[in-house]
Amino acid sequence: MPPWPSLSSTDELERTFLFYALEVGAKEIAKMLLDEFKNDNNILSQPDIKERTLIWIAASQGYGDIIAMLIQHKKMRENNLWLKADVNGLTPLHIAARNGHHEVVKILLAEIKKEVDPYIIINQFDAKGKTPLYYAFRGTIPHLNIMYLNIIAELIQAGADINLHVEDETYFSILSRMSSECQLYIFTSLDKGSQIIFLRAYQVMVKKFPDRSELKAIYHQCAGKYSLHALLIAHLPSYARNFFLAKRKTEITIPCRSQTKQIQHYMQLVDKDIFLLTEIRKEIREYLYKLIIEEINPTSFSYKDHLRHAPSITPFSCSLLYIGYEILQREGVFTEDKMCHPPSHLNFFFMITSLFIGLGIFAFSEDMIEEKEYMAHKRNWQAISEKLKLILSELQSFKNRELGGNISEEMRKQALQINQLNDEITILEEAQPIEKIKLTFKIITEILDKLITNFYKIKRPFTLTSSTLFFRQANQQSNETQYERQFRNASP
Amino acid sequence: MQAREPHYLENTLREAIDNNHFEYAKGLIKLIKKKMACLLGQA
Repeated sequence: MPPWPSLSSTDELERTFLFYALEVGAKEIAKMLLDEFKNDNNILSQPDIKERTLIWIAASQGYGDIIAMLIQHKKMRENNLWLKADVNGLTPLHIAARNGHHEVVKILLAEIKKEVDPYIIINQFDAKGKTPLYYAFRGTIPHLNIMYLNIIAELIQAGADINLHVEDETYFSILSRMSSECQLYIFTSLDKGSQIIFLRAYQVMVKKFPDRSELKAIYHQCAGKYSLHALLIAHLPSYARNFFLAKRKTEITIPCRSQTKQIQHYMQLVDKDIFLLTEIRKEIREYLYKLIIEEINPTSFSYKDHLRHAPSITPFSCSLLYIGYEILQREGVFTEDKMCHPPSHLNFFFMITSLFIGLGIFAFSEDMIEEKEYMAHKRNWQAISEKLKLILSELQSFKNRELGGNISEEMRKQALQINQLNDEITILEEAQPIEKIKLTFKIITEILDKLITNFYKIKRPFTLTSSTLFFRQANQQSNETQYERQFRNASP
Repeated sequence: MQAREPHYLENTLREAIDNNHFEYAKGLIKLIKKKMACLLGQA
């Protein structure tokens, strides 16, 4: 028998007392020992014979508070000891996910996110080639445990790759075999960014397995019922999506579980948006929403009643359209009861350009690549081009009539530029047509129709509005154009 | 770490941990610490 006992002695499996206490679940004793050894680097960093560390064993037991204490220790940070895998390649994250300890997973992920490359750690393989996400999936079989669903959501949100392969199938296809309730639960637990990844993955699966009606139903539910935001983003062209995400990143923080709240929140956002007009915005929204509804599910979409209160689906391109509208409205073109006048040429050009850019973004839409009905699309486009040309000629003849037959050089340049833009966009749309853009064209055609109609209602010459006044003041001194001078002289 | 036969107090402490006897383990830890301090003092 040794002459004296020691608190730092180990057993035949090289387990210290602290390690042993954690392993057998004597948490209070472990805490007492931890307090005793908090400054003993040897004890804290001593792995057992299977290379399991104190954090590993605490993770397997679900002792979040102990992990939080240990993880901050200097010794644990050395050589990433807190992430050390055992002889089977299982990291603390693996074991916490496998044993269904949601709190521990959260704590570990919070720390992992601070590392240089968290995705590598989160998607680390064990000796069997499995990631922590796999073990979380496995935990839901055969009996459902809500903790595992939370862990799955937590891991995916932190960057766990759902497209990794395990035994000839992806993690996502494992997930897609779970019950619809489970899938919806996971989906709604995710943040917006992860929901987009999910919806994309569902889209791929639905296309790949068109016979799996249950998959389609879950996709529709995920997309249409639970997260309006995800629905919108998932269906935006990538260009507009990135723009929208960047713009709204800081503003959208509410959880997506409550539809009403979300719509209210969106309404607030929309109300703040200077590019959006009330009546016209509603009209366009309605149109664009219909596009989505038809595409997703015409019968089960639950937002039909809320269309008028829902946000714009293509904020970037629509905003551009709205700019054009706003300018026209500010200039009084749509005022039917009162005297009307056309917009100033600068604003008019801005409006036309906005329309073109807005259309350009639609034309770039990645969804459009798949469809080949570009002849119909082309005819739409040609119709609009004709209308634009008609507007220009109307504007020119109006000026001829009202301003004594002189058309400014600038005006001609603008007409030329519009024609050039027209050619470019035509090439684009030939390359990338889409069915749903037809309705967008319809909207724009209506806008232009309205514009043309209103040109014939003009009963008196220009009146200065705030915006034209602004331009006049800005250009009055040195940069005043020929047109501006004529305009000024013609004004009463 | 020592590679040696465990002291009987160490065995007892492991038993206390095994059975999750907090107060017993606490007493044993105190005792072991006292013994260690005592021996260190003698040295």
